[in-house]
Amino acid sequence: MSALDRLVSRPLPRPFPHVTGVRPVILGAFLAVAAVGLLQVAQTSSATTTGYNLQRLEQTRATKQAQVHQLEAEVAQLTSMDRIEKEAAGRLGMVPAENVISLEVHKQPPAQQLVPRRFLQNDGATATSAQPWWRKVLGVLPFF
Amino acid sequence: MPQRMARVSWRLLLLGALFSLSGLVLVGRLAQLQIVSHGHYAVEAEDEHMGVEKVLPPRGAILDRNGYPLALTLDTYDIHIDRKVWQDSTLAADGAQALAPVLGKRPDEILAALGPDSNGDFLVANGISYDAGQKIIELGVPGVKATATIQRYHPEGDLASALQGFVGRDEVGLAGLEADLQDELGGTPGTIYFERDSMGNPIPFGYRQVVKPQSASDVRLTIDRYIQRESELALDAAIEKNEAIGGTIIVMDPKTGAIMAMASRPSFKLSQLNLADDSAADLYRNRAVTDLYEPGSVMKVVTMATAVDLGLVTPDTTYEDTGVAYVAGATIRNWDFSTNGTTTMTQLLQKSLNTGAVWVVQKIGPESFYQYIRRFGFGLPTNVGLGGEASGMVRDSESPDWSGSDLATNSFGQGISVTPLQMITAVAAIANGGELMRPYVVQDVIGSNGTQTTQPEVTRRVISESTARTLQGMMNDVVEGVPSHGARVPGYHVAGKTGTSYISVAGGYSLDRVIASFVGFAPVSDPRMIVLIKIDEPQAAQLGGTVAAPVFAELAPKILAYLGIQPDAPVAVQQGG
Repeated sequence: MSALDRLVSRPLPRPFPHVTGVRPVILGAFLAVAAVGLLQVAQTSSATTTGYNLQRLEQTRATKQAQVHQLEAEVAQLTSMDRIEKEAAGRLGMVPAENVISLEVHKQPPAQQLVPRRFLQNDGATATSAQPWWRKVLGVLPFF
Repeated sequence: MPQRMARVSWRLLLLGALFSLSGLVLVGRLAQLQIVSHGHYAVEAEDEHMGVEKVLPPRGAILDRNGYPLALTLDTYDIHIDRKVWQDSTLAADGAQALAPVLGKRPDEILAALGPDSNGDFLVANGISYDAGQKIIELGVPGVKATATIQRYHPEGDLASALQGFVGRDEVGLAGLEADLQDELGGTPGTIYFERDSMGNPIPFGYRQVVKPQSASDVRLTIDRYIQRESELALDAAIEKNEAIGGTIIVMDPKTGAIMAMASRPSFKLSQLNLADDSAADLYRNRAVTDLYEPGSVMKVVTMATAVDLGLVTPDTTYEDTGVAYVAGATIRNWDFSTNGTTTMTQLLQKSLNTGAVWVVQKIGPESFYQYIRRFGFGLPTNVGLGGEASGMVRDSESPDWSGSDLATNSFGQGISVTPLQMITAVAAIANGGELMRPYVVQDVIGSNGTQTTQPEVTRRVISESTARTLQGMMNDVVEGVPSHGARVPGYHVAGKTGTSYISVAGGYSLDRVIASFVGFAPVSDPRMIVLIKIDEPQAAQLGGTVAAPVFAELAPKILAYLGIQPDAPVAVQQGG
């Protein structure tokens, strides 16, 4: 038996199995990946914006704190004894007393005003809770 | 041919072996770098990439007892110029032009200050306001760095300088309460770890970890700014009037031990502080607790209190004053060389007789006397909580170089060294019914976690209540029983005792250098304040009654009126005129 010297015909490719629902799955997967990617970008963008806002707010807070310290110093300067003496002598024309007269007064003096208030001790009064009644009820429940 | 092949094979083998060896060495080195020394290089790499910044909490305030600030913290900036960047003359000129209006300097002034150096940073301005610092940051001038820092601001000026102390440029307390209360006022610093670029600047949105600083506390003192100010004014006036070299005034509440004023001279001025000046270092100490002096006749009240408490004498007990006492080979005379004949114990204190004090201490004996000296707190620190407090020097009968003459001189306050704070604390025990209180200057430490309050603390009972009452009466007689005594205060019954002591020098005492002092309290019926006045080396006059007692008479009515203490006299009292 002799072999025939001829080309063997190439087999035709088999048609793609036409399975219902495969293409939508791929499409869905593609969309899901795209959505996850977009979400990632959105999250990163949001985190970046938040980080920027945080830095800005920290800077604002530092500025406000510095202003508070500056104002405290100004208040302290205005209540200093040197300034009071200058005001009394200069603006109000007061002079040191030549005669000191002590009189017995049968009345309690007013409570001493301590300033500035920032430096006062907490008098023990605590802020009352601003929670509405329904939130307190919910708070009692174990799953809240 | 086979021989040649064999030679080639050997060469190849050798080459192969060399390559293999090199490979092994490289692998070994890699293993050493990556595995064995991994930790070391990981840390080095982290150091290279990660920066650390210390974050200090705002330093706490120092307040007087009514809450008025004595020291506050302001946020400021230090401005540095990188000399290397400013080598470019055009850039430097533009930079100086931009900085000048914010710093309040002329551009040529800024450029001239840079000097000839071309490297390093130059501090062009320190402690500029926060707003000015922010403006400079916004300007973005190349080579200009703004470093956030703080400055202490003292609204009351130089008040209580030695007591308050000061902080250094690193914001750490260096002297006074600023140093003693560093933990409270300074808080705990925080840190920021951040990823940085090759220039050392933080990488935006890179790794960043913040350990927040723990907030500092405010400290409320027992010092009253009004009483402190009046005390300092009175002290300065007394020093000037008597041509003295210095002095001390302490005002205390005898019932609690709370110190309301503590002034000493010479001292430094907070407004003119120059840490570069080494010669000023001697001025930084709080002399009221660090310096010793021989108290002189004020000590006679301690000697008398001991004798009364032991039941050896009463105010009316008498002794025969011959004007001289011979003790262990030493001759002791009265300060005015007087001879007074039969003298009561009250008269002894009124006339401040040295021979009387010797007579009393000989009745007491050395063992009991030094036991009471210790009980009154001499030779021991008061534990006031101020740095550098001295214990004093008391040589008792157990000391190797002690002799009987020491007992005699100690009875009238010579040969014994005390701090002004020890002396006022001891006399305050008499004013306080016999109980020795621990003196203190910190009333509250007000932190974010609450307030710590100092409670008055009885150190020990020194003498009985009846002895204390007796001594109060005798000290009252000292002031009111002597005509025109310098410490009298119209409207109030005052008790007190003067003291004049020679200053010890090598080999004895300097007879022309003295310390004049007075310790007094009022009102006698219910003592609310006790004042110690000590004037060092007065020249115009020398006696405690002439130099120090009038200072009490001037200061006490102001303090008593300020504290709202009613005069003893039930009717209206007029003073001055």
